[in-house]
Amino acid sequence: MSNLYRQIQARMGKTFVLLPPYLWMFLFFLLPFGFVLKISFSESIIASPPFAALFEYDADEGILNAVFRLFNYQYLIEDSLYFKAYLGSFKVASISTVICLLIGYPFALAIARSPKAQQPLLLLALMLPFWTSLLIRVYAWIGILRQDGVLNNILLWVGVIDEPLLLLQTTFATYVGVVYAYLPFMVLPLYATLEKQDLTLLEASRDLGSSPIRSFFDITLPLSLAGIISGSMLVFIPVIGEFVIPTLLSGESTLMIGRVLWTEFFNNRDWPVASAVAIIMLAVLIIPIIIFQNQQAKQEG
Amino acid sequence: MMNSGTQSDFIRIENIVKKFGEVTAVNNISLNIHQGEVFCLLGGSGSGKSTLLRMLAGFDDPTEGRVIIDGDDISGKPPERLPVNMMFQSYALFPHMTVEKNIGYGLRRDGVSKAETKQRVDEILELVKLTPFASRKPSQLSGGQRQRVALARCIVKRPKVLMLDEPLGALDKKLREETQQELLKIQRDLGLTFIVVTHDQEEAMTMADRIGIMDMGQIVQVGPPRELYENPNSMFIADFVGSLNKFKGVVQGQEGDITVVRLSEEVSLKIHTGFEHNTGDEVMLTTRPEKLEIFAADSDAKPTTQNIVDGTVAFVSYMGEQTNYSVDLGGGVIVRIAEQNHHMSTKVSIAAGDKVKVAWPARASHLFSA
Amino acid sequence: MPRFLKFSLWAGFAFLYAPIFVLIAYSFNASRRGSVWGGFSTHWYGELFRDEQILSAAWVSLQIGVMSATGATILGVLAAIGMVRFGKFRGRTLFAGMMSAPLVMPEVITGISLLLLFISAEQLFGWPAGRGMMTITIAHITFCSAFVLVVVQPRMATMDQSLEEASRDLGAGPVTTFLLVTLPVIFPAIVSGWLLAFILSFDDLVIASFTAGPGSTTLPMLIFSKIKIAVSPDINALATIIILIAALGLVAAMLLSRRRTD
Repeated sequence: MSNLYRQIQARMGKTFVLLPPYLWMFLFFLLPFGFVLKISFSESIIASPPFAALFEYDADEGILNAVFRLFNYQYLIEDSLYFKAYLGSFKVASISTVICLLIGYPFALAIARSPKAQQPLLLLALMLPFWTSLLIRVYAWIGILRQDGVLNNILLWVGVIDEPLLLLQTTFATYVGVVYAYLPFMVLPLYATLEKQDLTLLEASRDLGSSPIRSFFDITLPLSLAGIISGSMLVFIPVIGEFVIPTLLSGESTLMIGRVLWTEFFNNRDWPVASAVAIIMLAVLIIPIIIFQNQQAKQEG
Repeated sequence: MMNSGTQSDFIRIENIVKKFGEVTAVNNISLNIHQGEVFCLLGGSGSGKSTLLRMLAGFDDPTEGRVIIDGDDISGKPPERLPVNMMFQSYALFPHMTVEKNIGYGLRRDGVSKAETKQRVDEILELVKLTPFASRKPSQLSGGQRQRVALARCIVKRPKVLMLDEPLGALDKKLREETQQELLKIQRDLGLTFIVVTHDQEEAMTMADRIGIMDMGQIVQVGPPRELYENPNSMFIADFVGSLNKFKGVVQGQEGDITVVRLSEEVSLKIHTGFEHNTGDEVMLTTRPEKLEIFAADSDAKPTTQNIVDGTVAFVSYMGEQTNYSVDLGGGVIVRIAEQNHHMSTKVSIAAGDKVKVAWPARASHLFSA
Repeated sequence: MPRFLKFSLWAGFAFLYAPIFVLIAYSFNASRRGSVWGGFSTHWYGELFRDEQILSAAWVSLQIGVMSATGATILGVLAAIGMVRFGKFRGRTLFAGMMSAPLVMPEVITGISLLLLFISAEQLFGWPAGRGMMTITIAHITFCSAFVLVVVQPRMATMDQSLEEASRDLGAGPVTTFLLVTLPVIFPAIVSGWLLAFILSFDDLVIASFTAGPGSTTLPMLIFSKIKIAVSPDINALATIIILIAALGLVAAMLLSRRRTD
């Protein structure tokens, strides 16, 4: 009797705890993708909202008609702009991920190997810029990179250059902005795995005859693979859809798909095409997202 | 190589000092370690034993002094260039490598060919009885197996000296005894020199040929286990090794080799010291619990020791292999006595509150200046 | 530490902080032309506080931030309890997936999908009627709760479970145990989670742009529309204030968590 009661109580507790987040995420995260998919098969019309209905109920026949129009996807294939934009995003995301890794790894290692008492302070210093608006920090780079900006002024003053360089609205500016904005996302998971590493493993490797550099490649690096994967995914996936940075820093130099989606949606008001763009982006990202989630699940377990 | 089997200054530690800022962790230690012996550094935490070990392995540089191993001054050399290997307390097995890869790691770093590495790893696996586990990862092994991998990983390199940091600390009691014997057998068979660091005096006593007891960065006494136990050169050593009765006393007089010490109004003891003591000196008197014998007051046994003291049993605890008695001798003197339970004799009946006689041999005690 | 590591530490911090110091310096520049130093001035701060538009957008963002952070914290903490304490429940993989995907999901995708949901729901049920602060808040709660979970879950997982068992043993029910034992232990993580959610909501431009309606212009939306056109020095002043508040908040959060763990 009391056992049954306890079981009921436990089940109710479980439901009470899990149902709200479960339902919420289902309704507002998972379900919406269905609507994006649906509208990607729709037709753009001048109305509010600006797309044609997919399902039409024929009252005479008593049947529900559905018209799936594939021409949005056909359009994406035919117009090379989209392919170039996907490719541009992929290139920027890949190269930025590598740069973030190259800068972020020694950075994270340096924090993890600092005296334990200093580490919270260093992490705080790392987090602080991240806690101030991304928009504003990207905007700050405009002030640095413009032709009459800080960097050109310094270079002119030092005498490295005679004429101000064109830095803003270049691919260079895009990479600076992306690496700058996403560096903490690389450093934090790397730090988390590096900080947990048992330093006696390094001593053991030295003891067995490895130089410090050899020990790094034999021990430290392979044991931080989880952090490398998490960090890389935390940079690569969102950068694919990045909108703010290319809009503010790239000018016409770099075509990225996030910006294209935005333009289709807000400027051209072609919601079905924007939806199709989003669906293809999602399809491309599904594998990286699964890799990321497996990594997350492994770290829990 | 062979004739150096008895080389008594195989490792020479000369006036070594290690300071961390203001703190002196190792304070001017000089020590020789013989080839082929098991030398134990025994001490509590913070005694400097680990720091000394780390300097011998090349992880830390001494602030002063030098270490010479088989004629080579190792000062300033990084650990990877020393003919010394360390078995870490945590074993420090590489979690991403198989047992085989772990053991072969050091050989590969020395430039040993793949084929020879394989052959030597196989030999060692055989020796430590881990052949079936060669392709497992450390996480798939038991504690005892991990310990053997850690050992194999070191000895496969045939180091001149093997350092073992608390080698049995992570094993449970049953496994420790087995492992200890295996470890010593391998040490003898391969003729290795072991330096063992431990805080566990039992471990040190059973493994070591010689023990160096450390305290506050210094070595307080060096010697074979028996010597440290029977003839400690200080109160600290006596107290550190084994259990001990300690009493404050005053020297009453001297009769040849025998010193008379008064512990309280009721209790005075004759102690064989071999030294002259001045009457009136305050001393500490120490006695091991197993050196004393207890008799019921009405027992027929006639103890023949110089001291026979009357007392009352305050406490009895039966431990299985032995029984411990606390006996109140009067005047606040309470002595602990340990008796082996080999004869199921008259003493079974001794209980708390009983009147007893304590047989206290003159040679059972040591005197230290208070 | 090898010199190379030390160098990358300081170079990394220089890289992260250079733009921030440039912003702060510009905010006190009397000249409108950013490149020329026209002397020290607090002119732009005065300008900022007279700008009704900015003040009202800030107020909108603040309200959305507080509501979103609170909602996301509730959902995130519930999800953390579920993930840590209930072990394997049915649909755990899906749940874990839904709770972690927003961490990496490109904002444009989240934005467009939520907008289409809101519009379709309005067509079908008449709710939500139009878009505004409420739709932005729902959108922010959705992606912020994933971040709260990331912050709270490890604290929850490393918490000594025998504390809860002791409480149950001493006669407290599960709810009382949670309120009196679990909650105080994970409180620093909850505070960090709330602050992170607030900052993410307060900073978000993309998702808010998709889900906003007329009259619900958030601060980032306003800033974006200003800086897209031209450099506007009052934004430097605004940025300086935001940086200052974030720094104070972060330091306070750290001191709080340090005092509680001591």
